[in-house]
Amino acid sequence: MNKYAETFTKGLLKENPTLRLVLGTCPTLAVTTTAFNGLGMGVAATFVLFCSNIAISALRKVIPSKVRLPAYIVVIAAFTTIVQMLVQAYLPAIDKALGIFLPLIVVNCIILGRAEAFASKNPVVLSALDGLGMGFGFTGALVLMGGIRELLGNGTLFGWPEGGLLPPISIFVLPAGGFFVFGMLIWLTNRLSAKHDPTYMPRTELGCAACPHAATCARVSCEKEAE
Amino acid sequence: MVNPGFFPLLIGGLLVNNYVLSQFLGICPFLGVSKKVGPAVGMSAAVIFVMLMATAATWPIFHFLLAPNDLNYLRTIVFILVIAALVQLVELVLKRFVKPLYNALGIYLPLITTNCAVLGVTILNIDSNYTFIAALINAFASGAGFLLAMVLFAGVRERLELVPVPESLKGLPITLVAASLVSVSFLGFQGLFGL
Amino acid sequence: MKTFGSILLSVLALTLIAAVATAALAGTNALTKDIIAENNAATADAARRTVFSAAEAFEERTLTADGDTVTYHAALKGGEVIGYVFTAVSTGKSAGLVVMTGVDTSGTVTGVAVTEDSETAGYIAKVTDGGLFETLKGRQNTDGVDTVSQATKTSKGILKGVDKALEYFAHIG
Repeated sequence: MNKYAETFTKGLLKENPTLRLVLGTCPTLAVTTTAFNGLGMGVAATFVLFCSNIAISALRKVIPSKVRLPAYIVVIAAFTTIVQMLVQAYLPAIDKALGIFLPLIVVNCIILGRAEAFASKNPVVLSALDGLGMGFGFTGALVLMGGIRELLGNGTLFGWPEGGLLPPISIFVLPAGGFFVFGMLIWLTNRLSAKHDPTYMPRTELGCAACPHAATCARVSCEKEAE
Repeated sequence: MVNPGFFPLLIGGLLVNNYVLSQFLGICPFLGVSKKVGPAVGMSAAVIFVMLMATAATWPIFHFLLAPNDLNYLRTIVFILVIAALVQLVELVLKRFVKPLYNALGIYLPLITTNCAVLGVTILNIDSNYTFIAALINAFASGAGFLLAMVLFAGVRERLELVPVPESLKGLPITLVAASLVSVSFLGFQGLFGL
Repeated sequence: MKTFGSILLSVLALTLIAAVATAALAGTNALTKDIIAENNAATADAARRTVFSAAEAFEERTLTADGDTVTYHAALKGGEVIGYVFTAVSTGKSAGLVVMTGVDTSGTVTGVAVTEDSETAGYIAKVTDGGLFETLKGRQNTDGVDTVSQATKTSKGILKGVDKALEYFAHIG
């Protein structure tokens, strides 16, 4: 596989940001009450990730390293607000469903994480592909989780059929169901990955490595462990 | 402008609309820094502190600078920068003048810049059209709710370390299932005092 | 001097990025502002039409009830007022249950809808399935209307909202 194809496909499964790296947990849990909401969130975040990766990669030689985090945050916040305005204008139903989590894309650690870990070190085309791949991986995981919760909690899939396929188990669309389904998906991912690749280390922690604050976070845990 | 009053805001933030367990804000620190009760308390105290400061800074900025000039669309970008700058400033001031507080909270402060609960509370205070006082109370109550969830959950996780868990469920999966059960218990608060 | 230069450069770069970002946002805002305002107006009108389908247009008005100023909408057809749409904030299982009620000039309910709520997920659907909104149509009061079982508090909240609307209607006369 050439490096372009590899950069694009790694986000889909191998480094899936939600299920394997376990990043961006807030929107993953909050908006996946239906498959459609998951899709909306996924597409919005993919757009921001794609654009910010391109912008940051293009500017990677211009931004002084001292102010790179504020600069990244400004770029990401600008694209997030643009997406928010576009969604409000053309897809008001999605805006209502996503609510506060639409502006909060700005603090989604997948996006800042990719900016820091990939776009700031790689050329524009690769960064764009990385953003798309990661975004699609995120979207796929959200649709999967939204689909499961909608099917079990509301009996429908993408709002179809009218009366519902199954008798609804409401707890699955409540917050508790979100935590539970996410836990089960991570468990399933660990199981399948271990079967597929014996060297795979099951994910027992959050994917903090990709986050710009990882160093501080690790220090907090280590210092407190030592006590 | 509305001010629902101290008691409804406090109970709302603490129990009924708990930020972590029913609104899904601040999940990363909730899962990441809740292994032991000690760090969980430190982190939450820092979050309460920054939430109050961030609300005190962003509310006037929005209502006196952005809204009168029809610049609502700059809200997200301005708020996140204000919070980032504020966290840096607080860290410097604490380090220089309030050494004991810095020793207790300092290491948690950089983590809070990209904590969605902090940006979330400032945006929700604007969206709910709260008065300045109500916004501050809401910030405190939301932070206190975060503290409550963190401490309760850290307690659960300390026990979880000691029980035999199926190999493939160890770590994150069982943590999420435990979080689900804690969330179920908070479901019982819905409708409390008509909130 | 070298550090001063690098600080200046950093500040300059950051300012430039922020300026470009602001310009981009202002541009998008100019493009989408009118569409968003139109959407909001259209959504609000569409919601009012669900409780008062005969209306051609709606006009915002205010009345004073018990010292409070209440905003409501008059339903117009051919330039004449044929009824009113009231929005009342009530409390079901949770606070913030917003009930919209259409009332024609004779004081008969033409339709009821919930526009905003923080009820437990699925409760509004239960009330709808239970036929509460259909039952309320064509009534002049809520006396003896049965609540929907399993969603009693939500039903009561909705009935309270309708009562409030009818009370506002009485103020118009």
